[in-house]
Amino acid sequence: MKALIIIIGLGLGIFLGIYPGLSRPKPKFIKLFAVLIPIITIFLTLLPPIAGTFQDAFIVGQRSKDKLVNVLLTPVAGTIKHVTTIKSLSDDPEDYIITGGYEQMYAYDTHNGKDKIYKVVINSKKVPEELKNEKPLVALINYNPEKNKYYFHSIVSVNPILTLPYVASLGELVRILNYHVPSAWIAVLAFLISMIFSIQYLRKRDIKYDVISSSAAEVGTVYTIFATVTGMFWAKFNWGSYWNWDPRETSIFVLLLIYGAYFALRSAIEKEDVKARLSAVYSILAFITVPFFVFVLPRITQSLHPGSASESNIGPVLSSQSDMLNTTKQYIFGLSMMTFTIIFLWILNLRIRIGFLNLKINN
Amino acid sequence: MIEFLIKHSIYIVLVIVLIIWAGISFYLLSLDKKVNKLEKNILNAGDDTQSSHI
Repeated sequence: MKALIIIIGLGLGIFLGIYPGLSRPKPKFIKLFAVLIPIITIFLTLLPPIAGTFQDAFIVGQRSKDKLVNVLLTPVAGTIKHVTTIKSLSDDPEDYIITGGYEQMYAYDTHNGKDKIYKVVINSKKVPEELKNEKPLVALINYNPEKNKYYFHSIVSVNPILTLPYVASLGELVRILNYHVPSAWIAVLAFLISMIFSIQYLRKRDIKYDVISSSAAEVGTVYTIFATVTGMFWAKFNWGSYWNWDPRETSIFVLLLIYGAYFALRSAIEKEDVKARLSAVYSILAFITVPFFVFVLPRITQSLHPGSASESNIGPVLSSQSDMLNTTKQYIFGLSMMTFTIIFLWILNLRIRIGFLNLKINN
Repeated sequence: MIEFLIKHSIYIVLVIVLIIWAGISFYLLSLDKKVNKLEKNILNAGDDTQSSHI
């Protein structure tokens, strides 16, 4: 299902992006679509609240008991009650003092279609009004393993229309997924286009194919840099530093060096046909390394990046663990793939047309 | 307003991302317009208008 949504998003993006031709002027409705669809993607990526389950709070609580987790729950109406805590001063059962009290309520956790009731302790003196209705809400909750209790902290959102999944140790950072992953994948698409038109150039020796090939490599490099920079910021807040030579970071760096050398090669040769021929061969050879650096190498080494060889670190996008990303997130991710593809092909279209104009002027 | 933004800082991120996208899309649209104009001026001067597209 997950793969199908991604493939549909990518396919639609390629179709709308290439229509009516890689180097033909774009019709107005495609341009309007390409401007509007990213705005929808931005809203859908940033606005829905992150919502996990009590199970998530339980797992996080085992590691750090003070960490708050967004939990989607439905309070059971009429179950809020005051519980007094008492302390016995001596062995005599009547000799006790009231040491304090707390509010307590029950809430449904509607996860995977199954309802389970959890007891939640509310520490605040004033109980929020929203808890008294039986409406789903996202609340900050933490689990204390010593007392085996769930503590309510505050309400994040009431009756949310859409929710994003809670991925352990990512929290709010999971939103970057919609920008970081598509940009890396589109870079691969760009390098693939560059290779295809390099082969075309070698077969037909038409300089226009060289223009397309080099344009695709240029835009692909920009996308790779974008993926690297978003990844760097992600790494800063998740792993602690911008750059720590993780296998994934090293492989993308080598990839950037390889395509950097492509542009160095192009700028070093003056004669147009020699430049086109040599860079076409180089582009084909460079693309052979791309699947290894993007898909293979980071998966066979131990790494902090999701999708590495270590079992505990399965990539949320391609993983078969279906509950890592909820359905909403999968659709938004597919939409994001489409958006990035359309924008990429628009930029490529402009770059190719400028290249053709350059050819025309120089001849 | 400021207090609301401090509490919900995701809206600040939203506004910044939207401003960046507005800038990029405006740049792309104006570039598209310019290229269209140049194509009309330069390519239509020759005869191979149709064959220039792939």
